[in-house]
Amino acid sequence: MNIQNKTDVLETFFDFLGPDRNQAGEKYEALRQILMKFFEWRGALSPDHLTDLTIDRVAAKLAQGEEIRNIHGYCQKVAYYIYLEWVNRHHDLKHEPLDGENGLPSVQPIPDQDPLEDTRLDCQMRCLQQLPGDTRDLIQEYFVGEGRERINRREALAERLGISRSALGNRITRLLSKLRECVEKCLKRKQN
Amino acid sequence: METRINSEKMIRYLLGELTTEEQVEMETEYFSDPEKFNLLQTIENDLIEGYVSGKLANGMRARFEARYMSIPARREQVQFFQSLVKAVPLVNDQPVPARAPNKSQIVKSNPSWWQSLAASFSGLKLSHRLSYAAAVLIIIGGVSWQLTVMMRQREQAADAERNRIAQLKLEEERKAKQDSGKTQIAEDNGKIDPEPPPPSNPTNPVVATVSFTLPEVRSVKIVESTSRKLHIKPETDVVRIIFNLPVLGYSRYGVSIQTPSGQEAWKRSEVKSNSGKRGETLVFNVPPKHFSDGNYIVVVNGNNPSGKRSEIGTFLLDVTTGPRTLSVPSR
Repeated sequence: MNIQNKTDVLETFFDFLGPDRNQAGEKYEALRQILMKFFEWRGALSPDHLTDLTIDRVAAKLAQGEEIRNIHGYCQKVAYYIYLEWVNRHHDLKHEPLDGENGLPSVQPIPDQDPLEDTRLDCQMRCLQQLPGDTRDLIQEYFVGEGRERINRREALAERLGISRSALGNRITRLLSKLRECVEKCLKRKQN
Repeated sequence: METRINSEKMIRYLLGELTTEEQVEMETEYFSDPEKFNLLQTIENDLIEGYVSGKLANGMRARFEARYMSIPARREQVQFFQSLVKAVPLVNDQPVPARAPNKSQIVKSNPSWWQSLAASFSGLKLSHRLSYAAAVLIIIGGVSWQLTVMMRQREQAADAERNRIAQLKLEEERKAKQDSGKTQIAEDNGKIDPEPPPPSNPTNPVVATVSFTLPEVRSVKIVESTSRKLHIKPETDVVRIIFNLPVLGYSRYGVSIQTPSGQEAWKRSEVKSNSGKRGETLVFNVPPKHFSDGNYIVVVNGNNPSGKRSEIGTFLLDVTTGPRTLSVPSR
């Protein structure tokens, strides 16, 4: 699929998600996040690539005029088939020289220590400072404690903020996601 | 109760411990329900934070390390949280914040049951109060005595069970030594895996066996493209994997059992083979708990005469568990 065709296909996908382009964009991002996590939780090695593949296929079907009533259910099925294809690709093995490097993905040993530990911490501190002032306090209060005490603290915190507990969890997840994105960009900058 | 069951199932999903059908069911739920998806992410965050902060119980920690940490993308998540807890120390020295006062009309709170009991007790005559107090003390004493007796009985039963298990182990070891069969169980030199649980029938342990044969020495690594089927029943005590090799003369061998995504389910290294004139045999006894329904990749390697490790063969295993054979999703 050439770039122009792909752009048209994605336009069709956005049109399907809704007439308001901003809302369609939000729905697209939300769906993309679910797909990324699906592949990650299934243990796929390249969740972003497989997510793109899934969206491309679904968008292509829409562009061909396929009627899809439940976009989430349809995406789930397509994603599952793409996952199985990925698994089966690793079963399609051939004879290889004894010292060859191709073939099975090697199992990475779990490193005893993060080689970028100091740099990562530095980036973490910088990124925390870039976020609103009470972010650090919010994270601290959210994760402190264990068991029943933690549940009680979170309930109290949610009540103070005037939101539900699940909304509090969502807020923290979004916050951590932004923070992680910031840390990764910072790490890339420092390594280049 | 239902929330707790859902949370536990979600944790098992995150650790890759659900069956294929259960995974698909979970995924159908969170694809269609944003609340479920958000909850799963929240639980994942708690799991990772618990791991880096040392709050996970030993069993959960082991499960997390075995299943979660073997995927590179997830290791990066863990590294992120490790730096986060250093940047934002999560010490428990803060008092539980007070909940916001109820801004609606002031409602007189109902007295607790204890306060009600105390109020009624204070209206009685002294002699009656003393009688009631004595009765309460007698009841408390009786309950304590019962509890002590029950605990002692439980301890005795546990001791008896431990002795029985120890006896069974000794019998099994004695039998294993007496057994002078053709294959010899290879022992691991350095790393000792925890013993598998004692067999339900000590004289006839239930074994699920699969064997692979390399008939001749080849210059290339053997890579089998068809899967061997292995069915593990619930009562299986040990999974025995046998490799019949030509005479290779390697000093040590190792095996690694991996999922298609590269996650290592089990491995053994520095193992000696049992050599004969016609070939060498490797036998690995694997606890069944390391397997679940699905495909596995078995990689055998060895230290060649020059001391260099090289892969000898890669084999595919199609595992099914349970009392019946489950069908694998079609490609």
